[in-house]
Amino acid sequence: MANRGNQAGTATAAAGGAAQRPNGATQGKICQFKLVLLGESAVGKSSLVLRFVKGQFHEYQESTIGAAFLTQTVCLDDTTVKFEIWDTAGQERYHSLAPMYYRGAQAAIVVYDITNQDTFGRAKVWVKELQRQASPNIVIALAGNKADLAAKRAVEFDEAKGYAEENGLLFMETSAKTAMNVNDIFLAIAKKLPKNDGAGGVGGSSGQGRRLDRAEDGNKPASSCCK
Amino acid sequence: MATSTHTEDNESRIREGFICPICMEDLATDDQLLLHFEEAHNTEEDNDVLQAFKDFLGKAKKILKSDNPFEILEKTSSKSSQQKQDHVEWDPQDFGVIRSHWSDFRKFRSNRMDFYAAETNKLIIRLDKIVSCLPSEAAKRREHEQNIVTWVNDEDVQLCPQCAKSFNILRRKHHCRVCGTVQCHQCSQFLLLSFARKLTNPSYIPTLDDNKEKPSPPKRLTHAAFHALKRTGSTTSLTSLTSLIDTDTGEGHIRVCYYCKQLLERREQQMDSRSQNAVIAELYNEMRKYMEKGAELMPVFLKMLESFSQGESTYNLKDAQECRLKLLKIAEYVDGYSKKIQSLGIDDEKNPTSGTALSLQLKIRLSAVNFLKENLLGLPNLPTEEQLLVLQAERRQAIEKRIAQEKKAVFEKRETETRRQYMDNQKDFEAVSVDRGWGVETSNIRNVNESDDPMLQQMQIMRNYIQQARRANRYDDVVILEANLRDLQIEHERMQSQS
Repeated sequence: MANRGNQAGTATAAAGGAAQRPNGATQGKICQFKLVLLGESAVGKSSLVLRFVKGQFHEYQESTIGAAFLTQTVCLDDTTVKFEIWDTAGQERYHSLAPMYYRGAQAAIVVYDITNQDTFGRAKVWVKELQRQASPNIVIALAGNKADLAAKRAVEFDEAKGYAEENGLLFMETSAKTAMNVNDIFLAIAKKLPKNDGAGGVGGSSGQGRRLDRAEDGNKPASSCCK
Repeated sequence: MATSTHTEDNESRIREGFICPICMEDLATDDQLLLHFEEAHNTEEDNDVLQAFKDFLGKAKKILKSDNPFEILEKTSSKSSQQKQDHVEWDPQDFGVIRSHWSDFRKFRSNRMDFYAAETNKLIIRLDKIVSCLPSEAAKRREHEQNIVTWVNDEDVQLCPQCAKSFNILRRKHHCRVCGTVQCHQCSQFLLLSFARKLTNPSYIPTLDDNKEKPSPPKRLTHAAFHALKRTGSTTSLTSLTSLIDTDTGEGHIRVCYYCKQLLERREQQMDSRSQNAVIAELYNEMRKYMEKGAELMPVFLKMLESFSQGESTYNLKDAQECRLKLLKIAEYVDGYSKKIQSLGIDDEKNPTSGTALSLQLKIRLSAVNFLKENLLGLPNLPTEEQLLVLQAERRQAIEKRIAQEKKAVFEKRETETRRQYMDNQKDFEAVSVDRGWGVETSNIRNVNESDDPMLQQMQIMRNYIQQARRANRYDDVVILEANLRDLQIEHERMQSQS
């Protein structure tokens, strides 16, 4: 709260007051994180998010056009974390849109299908791209989806795990169908994200801190943090 | 005694024979006495007396002729009671007061037993003293004997206490060596020295070289006995001497009275029966030992057998076969011993086993048979080596199947567990979530022209999203979406200008 007060002070008083939501007052810290899902088409990105946000699962999920937008709020100890999730389309023709969404994102989930070795290879490419072009502090999680189809496994757990460890990624095998590890992976990301946004916001890189405060976010154009 | 009816004590003088009760005339035979009585005293007033006398005499004769006088007495008395019952019809009677005399019986019996036991022990002690250092010389021997037992004075005894006959030259007085009483030679008994030694030594076992161990050789002892008889101060009667030689089978002996001999013989019987029991007990112990061994080995064998039938290879087939052979041998032993116990003493013609002893032997045999039936009879056969191999193969298959099943079960269990964990996590998650998540509807943006530039397409989608967010009153999200739309527009312009 003290941190937030400081930041509110830096912004205009009216905007700061308007930005302070009632839940923000009662809760401890409120952090908002931009999270982007990347990965080959039909690996289950939309399903994963749908499971996380709405607790639903559709056997025949339509392929995403462009990028979908969803939010979910979770409580982590005394911190309320709001995820602002960009679910990008996996199809190649929408690939050009991806940088729009991973730029300025604090977290990314790169999804692959454990029954399809090619999707794992594509995931590696995505990881490389993120490491090169996204924010250097971005938290990347690797999700091996469709774990319920372990019988048709094509990507070994250890292989993916080893790769994740080499690249400093969070790694879990998930199943949107059975809900296995879905909440876990989001919670793990939430835990790994820096929550001392006030100090980090001031001293950190341009993109990281500001996104975390809604007051600032609401006042200033998003472009200020994303070049 | 029946003989006393013929004798009359006349001024402390004893008269023996067939004496007429009226005129006191001594007649040679009973027939003569009867004849005399009928002739001399056949008067009217004497008729009753005669009749009574006749009855009396007849009865006495009958008793005298029979082997067991008491049997007849009992018979006559029972006859008379039967006759009584014939005459009088008794009303059925209820039991009156019943009183247990057991304690009285016990008291008297134990008194009697104690008496006999003490008496026998006394005799044994004396016998022991006599036998232990018996001098071979007659004079010394007598002195030795008299030192141990005080002999009754010859003068105090007028008649032989056994046969009630008066002593004379032919019927000499003899002393029992262990109690000191006087009796005639006919009534006295003899203890063989070996017998005496057996009595005095509880662990005495007659052996072949026992004769050598004896302090005096038999012939000399006969000689000594002869001298001892001579030393009593009277001439040795020919009959007693011959009888002595007759009874002497080349072994030394000790003169005892009838009662002492009885007591000592009973003692010997007791000892014999004890030793006989020892035989049966020994056999029984041996049998029990084998039975216990069998009972111990049986479960081991069965365990082996079961293991084999399950196809396990824990045990060696050879060991099991050995075990089976051992069991069979044990069964044989138990059978043999129980048979021996059963037939114990049956061949003994003199003293065949009977009563409780026999039934005990039979029961031991029966229990052994039962044991064999229950445990060792029909001992199951071991599988052959080929059978064993088949069984083992079967077992391997079964085990593999079971392991697969177990693995499957474990896997399923783990899966359900993990699923439950997700559910739990979900619950936790739901518990901590502030509000339900919100997401745009993507189904109503199908009308987007796919041929368009993805960037333009996305801007259109974003406008749609913003509307949705507005409708859903998610103004926070509207802000984010609008920001993104602006980003897209800027990007699009940049790209346009680049191209």
